[in-house]
Amino acid sequence: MTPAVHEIRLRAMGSDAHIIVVGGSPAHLEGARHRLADLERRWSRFLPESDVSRLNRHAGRAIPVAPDTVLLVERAVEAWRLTRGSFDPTVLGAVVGAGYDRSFEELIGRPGGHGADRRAHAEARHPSSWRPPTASACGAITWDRVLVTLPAGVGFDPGGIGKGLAADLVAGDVLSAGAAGVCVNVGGDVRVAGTGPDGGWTVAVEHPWAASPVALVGLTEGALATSTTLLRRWTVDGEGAHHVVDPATGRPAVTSLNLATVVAGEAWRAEVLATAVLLDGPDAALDTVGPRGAQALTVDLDGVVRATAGLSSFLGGTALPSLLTPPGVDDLLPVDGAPAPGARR
Amino acid sequence: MPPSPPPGADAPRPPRQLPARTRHPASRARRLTATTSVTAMLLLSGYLALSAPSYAATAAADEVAAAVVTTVPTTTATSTPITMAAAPTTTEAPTTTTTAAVAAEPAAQAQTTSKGS
Repeated sequence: MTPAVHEIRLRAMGSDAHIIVVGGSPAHLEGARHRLADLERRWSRFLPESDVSRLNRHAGRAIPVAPDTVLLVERAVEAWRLTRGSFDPTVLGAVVGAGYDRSFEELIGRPGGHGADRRAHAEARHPSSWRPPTASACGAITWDRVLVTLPAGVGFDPGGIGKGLAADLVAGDVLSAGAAGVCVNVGGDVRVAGTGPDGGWTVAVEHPWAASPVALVGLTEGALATSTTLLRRWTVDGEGAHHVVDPATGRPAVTSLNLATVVAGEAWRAEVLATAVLLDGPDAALDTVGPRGAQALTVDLDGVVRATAGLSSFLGGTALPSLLTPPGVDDLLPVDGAPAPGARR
Repeated sequence: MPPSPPPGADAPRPPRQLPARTRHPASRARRLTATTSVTAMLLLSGYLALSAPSYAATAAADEVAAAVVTTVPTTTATSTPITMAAAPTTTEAPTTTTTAAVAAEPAAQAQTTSKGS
């Protein structure tokens, strides 16, 4: 007998989210939705009473937070070490300095700001107000079971790791509640566990330049996350920006890649490793993810697709495209209503 | 003849012995002050106890929560803050390893999509 499959699509953490439950009930979906909303209430830096906002407001003091938030901080610092500083949750000042000082929905709606940058994807401009950060304050963050202390003057930005960790936590909850299998996708940070609808789970990796998925990744258990500079772009006073900040410079990253996907055991790890690969470039990808048992797929600015050797085992023998064709100027959409720069119509 | 006054009636009399408690006015004053102070403290503490909720309600919620949590002995006595080391260098060995994902044969149709964020 085929197990029942229930799914919902919703907005969460400023992103599209998708939850699939196998062998469960609508109650599992509802529980997952509430859990996701609860995590967003605690972790959003755009909600003034969230744990993260309170930590930032009272940097320098021990602040009581929910256990999930302690875990978030712990994972973020671990990610900083895992990526040797390529992922750094203390670049909040730089992110805000780049103009990402409100939710993305508000950002693209404000005067002078647009989510879609019509200029060439490789163009990188830096407003003069941006300043490189000083040495990372990540090592000075302290916590115990209920209290977190940020160093004075330091801002904490959960960034992508929040979505990944949320996917991990919600997936764990759904399985604990008795479902046979679950897939939680928060903004492209995907965690699967247990029985899939067809036995396993299949996740499509999409690139804005490609009409069809770049890869179909088969997973029995694990996670996949994609980081790109082609989405979440905006302009501030005519200057283009995107959300991936290079901790080394404190500015939106100038990188030779425009997309990196990582397959790993947990979504939070996949997310931070994808960010690190995006910053480190294709040559460093193997060094970045290889020793950690993860796999990576990258697309560079010319559309060249590369992958670690081990990724093939997740592709079922299907070859990856070797080259994606960048769009011409005529392919670019008008700014208003454009889903992404360089996206195909 | 009127009776003669008793001998020594007009003589100056020695001062009357004061009750013990009034023999040292300063001591009494101190006791009164102490009693008053205790009473005042009791009244004040009662007032504070009664007025604490309204006072707390006007304070920043997180500050009040912080004060409450930090005074719980079991919280502060049994937990040890973790301070991470200085910023990692490129030569530093990774402190954690990633649990590898388990591959499966992908289906022709994906259940979900990762577009990136």
